[in-house]
Amino acid sequence: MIDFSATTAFRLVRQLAVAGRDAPSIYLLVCETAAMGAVRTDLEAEVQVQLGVDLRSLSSAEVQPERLGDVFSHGTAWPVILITLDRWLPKLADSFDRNIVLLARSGTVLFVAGRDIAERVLAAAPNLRNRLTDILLITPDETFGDPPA
Amino acid sequence: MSIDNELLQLAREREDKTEGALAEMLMEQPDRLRRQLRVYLSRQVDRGRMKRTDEKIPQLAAIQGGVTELACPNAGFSAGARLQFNIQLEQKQRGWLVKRFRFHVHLPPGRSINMVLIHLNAEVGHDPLRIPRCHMHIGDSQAHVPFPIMDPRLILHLICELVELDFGV
Repeated sequence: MIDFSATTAFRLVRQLAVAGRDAPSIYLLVCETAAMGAVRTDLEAEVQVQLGVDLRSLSSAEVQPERLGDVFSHGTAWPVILITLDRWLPKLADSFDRNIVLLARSGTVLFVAGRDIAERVLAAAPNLRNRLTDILLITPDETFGDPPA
Repeated sequence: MSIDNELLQLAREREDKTEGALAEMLMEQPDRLRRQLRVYLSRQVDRGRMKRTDEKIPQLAAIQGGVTELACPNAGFSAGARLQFNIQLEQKQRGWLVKRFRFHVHLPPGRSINMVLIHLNAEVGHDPLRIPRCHMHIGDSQAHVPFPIMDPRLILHLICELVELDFGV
């Protein structure tokens, strides 16, 4: 089992903000399945607050392997795309791998996956693996603190 | 009308304007405001103006009566000043409104002013001439200097760019 550095949406998007829109990046974000919804919400909010753009969020079922161009064609100044790999779809992983140049030219691409699917993607898509900016373990924000005394 | 009564009338009118401004100042949802304040503080850190802040600051807490509080218990400026604040937001039919806030800036030793406090009380006081709902304290003074109503994000910015840099230097 691979160990990944830990991050949060806040820290990750800060990194993106520092790197700037001219630095295309592809991240594989590994997270607990139960936390995926919260992580997605955090990413959407942080991208909006820190980068001032809307995150385009898609599930793997919404991405057609033979039509990646539709997903990664962009009309915004800083496209940020989040794809939740919520099921193992070998054809999709293969398509990402074959179209790695398209992904690498598509602004910021964030893949979120559970550990099992992340490891399968890494094994099945060597080109994608080689072009990843980083693989990080992402956890949800701790929103609420202790109630005031 | 005597001058005393006229002054009281003027103070009440000022408080009415304060109430009107607060009622018109619709805020972001508390979680979004928390994220905005957090990134603002982190950019102050990037600029070297503040010491590294905890990623969990400001913290959200639900308190009594449907009020949500955003609290920053302690943030340090690189030059030695310290900042504490809390902002209470209340959800109304039209959206989120500011109910109360407290911004405390403790300036570093060597300044002629040791602290600046900016308060919005939860309610209008019975003596608006002496205690305006939104006011500022300078140093240890008990005087409640009227302070204009503004978005708490703007107050934080004023503190970081003006008060901390310039007061009592």
